[in-house]
Amino acid sequence: MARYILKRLLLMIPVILGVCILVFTIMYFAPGDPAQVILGGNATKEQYAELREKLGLNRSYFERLFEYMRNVFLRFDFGTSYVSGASVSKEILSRFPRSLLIAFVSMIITLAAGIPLGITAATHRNKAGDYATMLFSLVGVSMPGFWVGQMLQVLFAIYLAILPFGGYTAGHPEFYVLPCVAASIGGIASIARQTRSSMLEVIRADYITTARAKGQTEHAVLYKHALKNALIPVITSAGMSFGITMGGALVIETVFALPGLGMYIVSGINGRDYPVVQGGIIFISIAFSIVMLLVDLVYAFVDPRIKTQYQGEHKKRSKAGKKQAAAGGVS
Amino acid sequence: MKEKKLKKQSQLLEILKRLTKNKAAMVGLVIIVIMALIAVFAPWIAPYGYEQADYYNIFQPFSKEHLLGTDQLGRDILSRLIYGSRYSLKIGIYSVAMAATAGAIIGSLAGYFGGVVDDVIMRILDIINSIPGLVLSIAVAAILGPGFTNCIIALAFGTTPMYARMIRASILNIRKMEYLEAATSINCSSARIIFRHILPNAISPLIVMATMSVAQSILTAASLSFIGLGVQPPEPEWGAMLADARTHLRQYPRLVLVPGITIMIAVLSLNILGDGLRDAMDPKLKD
Amino acid sequence: MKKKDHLTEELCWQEESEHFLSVKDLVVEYTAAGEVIHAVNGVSFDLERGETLGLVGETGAGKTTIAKSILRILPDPPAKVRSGEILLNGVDLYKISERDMRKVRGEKISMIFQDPMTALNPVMTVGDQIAEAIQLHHSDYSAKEVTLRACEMLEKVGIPASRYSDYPHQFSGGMKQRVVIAMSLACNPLLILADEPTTALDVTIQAQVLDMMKALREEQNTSMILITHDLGVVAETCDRVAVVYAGQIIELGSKEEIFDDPRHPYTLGLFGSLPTLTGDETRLHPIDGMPPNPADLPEGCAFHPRCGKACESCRMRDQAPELVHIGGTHYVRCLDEGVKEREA
Repeated sequence: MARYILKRLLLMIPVILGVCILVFTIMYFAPGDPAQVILGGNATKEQYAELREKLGLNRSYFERLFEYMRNVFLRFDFGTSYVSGASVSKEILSRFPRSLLIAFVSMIITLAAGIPLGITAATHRNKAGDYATMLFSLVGVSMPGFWVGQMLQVLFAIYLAILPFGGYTAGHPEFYVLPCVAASIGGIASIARQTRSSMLEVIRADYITTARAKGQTEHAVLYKHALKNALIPVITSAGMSFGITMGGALVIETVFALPGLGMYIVSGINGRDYPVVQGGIIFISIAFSIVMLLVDLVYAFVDPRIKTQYQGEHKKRSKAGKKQAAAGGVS
Repeated sequence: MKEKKLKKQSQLLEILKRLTKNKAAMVGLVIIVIMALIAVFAPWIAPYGYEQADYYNIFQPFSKEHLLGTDQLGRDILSRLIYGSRYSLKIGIYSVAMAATAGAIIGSLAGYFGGVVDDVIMRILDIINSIPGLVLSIAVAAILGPGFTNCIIALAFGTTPMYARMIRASILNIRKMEYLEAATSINCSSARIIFRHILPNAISPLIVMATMSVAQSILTAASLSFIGLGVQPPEPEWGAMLADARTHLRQYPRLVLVPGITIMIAVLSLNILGDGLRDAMDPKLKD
Repeated sequence: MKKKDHLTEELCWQEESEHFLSVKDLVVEYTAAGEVIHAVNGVSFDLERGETLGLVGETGAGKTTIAKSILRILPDPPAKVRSGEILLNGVDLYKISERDMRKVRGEKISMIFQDPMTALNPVMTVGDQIAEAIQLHHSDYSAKEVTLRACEMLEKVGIPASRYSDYPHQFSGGMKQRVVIAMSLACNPLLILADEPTTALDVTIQAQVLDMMKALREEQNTSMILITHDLGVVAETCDRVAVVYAGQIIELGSKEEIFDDPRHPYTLGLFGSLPTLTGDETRLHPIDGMPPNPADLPEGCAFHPRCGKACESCRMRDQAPELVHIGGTHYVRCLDEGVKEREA
């Protein structure tokens, strides 16, 4: 298992390098002159030229890419903001925990609400409960997450006035409540749908009939035999929806004026502050890759078929030998 | 040849027949068609022009003159929504068409040629895939700048890898089947095999996915507009209307409520239709 | 030992009941896409303790449906038992509650499924799956006793107990089938329903599995209904044979009666499609045509479209043949007088 994790971590390296190159390249083609962004419109030609030289803007694409990658991977340095002159890495690190908290809490809400909803729908197939759940999840995936956030603001911050409208003060968890709920609605809906359809598929499997034929109760058949199998594909969509949540959180942070990574990126976009945008996106992608890796590991934990696949190749041999001996022993 | 064509047609008829039996899907389809008609005939249907400001009647509530009220410039919200349907539907359809075409080409190349071509394409897709779709669209939109066309390109960029993967997977499945060997054995060219034999067979999951992702694109476009990257106010795109109304959320929440509900209805109908199409094309899944 | 409640008592010791198991006029229908599929159309048979009955017939003849309806595990919807009685020691299994039925499943009647590849839960260890069956019917066992008994069952079917914690995918098809068999024998059932237990296996493994089942059955005097389309397996294992066609038994008798003196044209056809080593015939004689569509069964005798002896009356709706006693324990469902009277 440790070897597998190590192998997967090593495989992540080229992907992350690739992400860096890709994002750098996209940003390289961004129009506009950073020198102009930094100095504004009222500087002399010489000042512009000097700054360009200092930023290395006159060097070739490959030189600049190499330089950037070296800074990112050896010094964890994403450059400095054109607008504020502050270190992007520092800013990202101080804001990221808030974004991560939103993504993480929404994920928990998503799973805790989505899976039971999906199960209820599957077990009440073609009854009112099923239709209600499916209608809810269809509506849920059809609303823009940030709009849900705005509606929650109207309801809880304006009419009921029980939660803050937006903003953030350290040590006050209530500022996270609405952003987390808004970020999870879409996920709940899609996880509920996925759970339902995979449950319905598993219920038809032969081993479910086997369990019934043993005399197992319907409840145990569903929760002991069907659920674990049905959850395997749900894990993958949970991972995917974590990515979607992280993306959506960027916009939702803007709605609630919560100073996380998303608001930082959006302000970078509006200020043409490309080091900020570039650094923020690379950082999110790395975080997403790690989450997907975790998903794969959870997968292996839940599905024994995958676990054995990589329980060290050295073990395979002895196992095959054992199997043969066992088969031979009976004949 | 003729027989094959006939068979294909009857298969299509069969799918349509199953689809028409699905009431929810038909409701979705009807709403989509109505919205499309509204978009086409917007100038004749809309009671006011979308930029027609009336400074004496700003922030009007719902009334006979203005069914859905007016905004901060006194523009009629219903008219703006009607014109806005042109943008939203176009953005959804164009971006999906673009992504599906690009994805189909990339996926077909990878799936058909396999080997090094496949490896290279798949590794690049792996990289793109490790950036969440919305974030990628935001990045592309950020460098392209705001605007209708740029918004479409940015959306397409974010979803192309998904299509490429799907097409590749179905091609790998189909490739194993025998009729391709038959085609190769009668000396068909690669291009002919791809376009005449492989693509038509991979198409039905593609249609379902396309319907669903038109819905997704409309949602993503709204997000882009909201953070100032998609279509910009004063254009009456639905997402842009939300962004525009944002500052008035506290006093006049209906300015945000109404466009949001419109987006939801459009997306919901597309999703229901997509569900219905999937069930109709693969009755095994539904049972 | 285990505390026996009233129902269990009744199921085990009602010696006065006529037969150990009797199925009476069983009718099962499936409803799919508005179509009614007549899967089982009035099947009746009896079975005694320690006896093995073979259900023989083509795929889709309704054999598996018969077995599943005995255990009341048909998926409803789409399947529905329209009428009939299934008496186990005189108790009608369709008149007891679902709760009581659960005590019958696994403990009194157990089933071996056709495809060992899919019959085991992929995310549970094989040991736990066997243990589950034991634990369900022996609530007085401690966890340790349950595990011990499960290991014992594994050993019994020739799998080392050390593989208790392995998952199904780590086993070959034959081994999986042994696990399924261990699971169904774990509670010493009175009746085993074996649905093509060897079809999915290699020929060499088939023989092993059959021998093993036979030995275990004799050890415990268990009755068995063996579903198969393999006449060789029938000859090897069964005491009596029922030939099933289109959801009906068309010939029923002891193994000797069926094998040495087959009467029904369909049974004859089944034997005709087997090659013999001793015969000097140069060609096999397969049955013409396809099995009938169970959604649209032929009127009259269901076999008439494929029957060489069919005459006008075989096609009449009101002339559907009955299962008639023709001597010994031999029954046949045919209108042709010659079939019924022919000397052996």
